Amino acid sequence: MKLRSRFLLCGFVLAVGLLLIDTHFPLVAYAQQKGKQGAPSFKSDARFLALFHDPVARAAKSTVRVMCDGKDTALGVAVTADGFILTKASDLTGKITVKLAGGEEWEAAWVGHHEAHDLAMLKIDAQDLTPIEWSDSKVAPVGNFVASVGTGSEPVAVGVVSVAARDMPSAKGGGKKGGKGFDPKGPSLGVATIDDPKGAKVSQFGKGGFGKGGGFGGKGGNAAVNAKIKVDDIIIALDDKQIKNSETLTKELQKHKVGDEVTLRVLRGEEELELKLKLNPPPMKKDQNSMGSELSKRTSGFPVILQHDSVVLPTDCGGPLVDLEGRVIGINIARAGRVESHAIPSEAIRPLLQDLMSGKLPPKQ
Amino acid sequence: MATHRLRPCWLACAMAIALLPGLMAAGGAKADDIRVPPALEKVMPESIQDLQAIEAHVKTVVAKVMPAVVNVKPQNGSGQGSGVVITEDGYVLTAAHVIPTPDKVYTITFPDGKQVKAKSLGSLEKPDSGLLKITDEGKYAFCEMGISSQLKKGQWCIAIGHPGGFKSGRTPPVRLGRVVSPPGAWITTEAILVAGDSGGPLFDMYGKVIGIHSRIGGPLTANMHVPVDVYRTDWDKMTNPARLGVVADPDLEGKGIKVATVVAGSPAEKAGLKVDDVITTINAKSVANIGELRAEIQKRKVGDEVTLEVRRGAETLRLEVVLDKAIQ
Repeated sequence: MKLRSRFLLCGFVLAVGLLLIDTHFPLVAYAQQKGKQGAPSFKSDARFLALFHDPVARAAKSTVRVMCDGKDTALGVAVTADGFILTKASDLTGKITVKLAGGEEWEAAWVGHHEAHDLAMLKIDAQDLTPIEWSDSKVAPVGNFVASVGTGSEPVAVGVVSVAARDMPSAKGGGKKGGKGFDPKGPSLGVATIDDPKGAKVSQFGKGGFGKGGGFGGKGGNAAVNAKIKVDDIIIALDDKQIKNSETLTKELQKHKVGDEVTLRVLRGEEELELKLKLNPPPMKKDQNSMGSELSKRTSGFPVILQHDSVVLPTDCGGPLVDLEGRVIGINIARAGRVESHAIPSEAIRPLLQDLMSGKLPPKQ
Repeated sequence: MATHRLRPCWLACAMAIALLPGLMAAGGAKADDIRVPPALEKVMPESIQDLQAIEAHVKTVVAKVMPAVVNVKPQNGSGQGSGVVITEDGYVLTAAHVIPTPDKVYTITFPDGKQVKAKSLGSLEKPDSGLLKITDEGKYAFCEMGISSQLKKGQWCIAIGHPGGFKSGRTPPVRLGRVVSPPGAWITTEAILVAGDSGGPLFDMYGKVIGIHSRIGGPLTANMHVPVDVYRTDWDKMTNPARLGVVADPDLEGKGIKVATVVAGSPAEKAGLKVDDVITTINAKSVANIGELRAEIQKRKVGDEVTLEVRRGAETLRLEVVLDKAIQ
């Protein structure tokens, strides 16, 4: 009975309408209550996690903890016996060390970086590591159980495959070109525009009032405001791409990711100006997506992903994802939203490994 | 028309009530019935074999129901939600907040990308239930409605929908969960939802629709679904909503209901309601704003009689109104 009354309360206090508004207008505001754990989930039940001992056992031998300046940053996997470690790149910073399951800690050199896939190759001087064995992700279709492997005997997260491996149409420099899909996690300029014969005319600035930090701007402030864009400015080009109307502006924006720096050419009366700005996170969606779990800093722009419903901590990304047979179908790359964690499927990783180890894809530093 | 067509479905559902316990015991009476493995009846799976049995079963259910899960997008306007087709001729369950207004045109997109037009039939704000009918002639993939009143805490379920809206190249994401609390005003599950899922289906392990995604709370285990029984009991109210026929003055919102317009020929006009009247109660229950009045009206059906208490200048009047359907 107690449980029930708590949930009714949650309903009134916390409930949020779920309709997606993909433009600039929120439908339902809500209050987010911090620190409420809610009912326990089978996904974190010790009895349930214990069932995955066998599936994770083999991959766990190859899994390591990656630390930056002494702090847990990501998981990683040994890809060779002689010290090459694959991990998630974008959270790496400062002095990188790798801790093996046995507790040994090694200084790591960052030797390879694939920006789009957000993968980094590290090198440690250890010998006799257990290299990971890869399997194509198609062995685990939609509905299959998946376990995110950590360095211990239990998985760090469990769930099911939500969507099989797919090309992401919005990824820059990869995936399908010209895909129609609108990525709601894609970047935003922080303005609404209307069509004009010359381009996309700025009609209004987005407001930050759709929930804390969830409106246009978020932490970095409104990109358009920062760049001193004015209402009635007509955007005619984004980088070297001509902007004919609001739709082409949205399309061009979708080819970028949050945080990218772009140059806009705008008409202001008779004047033509060039304005540089850093793209904002998208309006609103961020809020519902960040309800209930912490998200990775980078959540989009990966050319290929497999989506699952496990709740993977951002600091547990970079580790292997296995099926019930213990086959490694990918590497977790992002806690990407309330309903989704993303993994780069093994078949997309394997062809990159040689270049990541050989120095052909050096990290920019 | 709509209710006549649907009647066979109701009968099918009524039969399911009778059959369900039998099915569980006998493990499937008909060839096309889904057989639920014993592992799913346990409070917690006990072995890797149990997990394998659950996994195989989840895949069977997903394959069966996925083709009937749709994206719902207004033809004119922004925003989008989800829905599920529940009859071969194209009745679609969704959430009220996905289709706030009846008689509007929506584009329905199936997982294979096929698009058809649909009309919103009606919705009920309070339970957040909404109904569409596909207007393009055809035979559509559909799922049967289950019985939500029989759900128990801990029962496994599957949520499918379009989180974040329709994305080409992405099949509607599948999420596995269990019922957190048995249905009251809604079903709460740990099958995680987010914006865009609204209106999408929650399935039991027989592949039957047991709920419609409605809202979320902060925790990942606070995902609320409209119990599917609501759609059965309130079908007439959704397809043939009772109306009063007044438009309220928006300036007064929250501070009483001041009549701005009385629709010609409406029940309100027949009962003698006039512009500037302030409606204070309905059947002796006080109503502070148009939302509360609407909720009271939506509880009733065409032909019901209600008594409105109305302030007109210094006078207080009691008006008897016979509710009627909307005037086209």
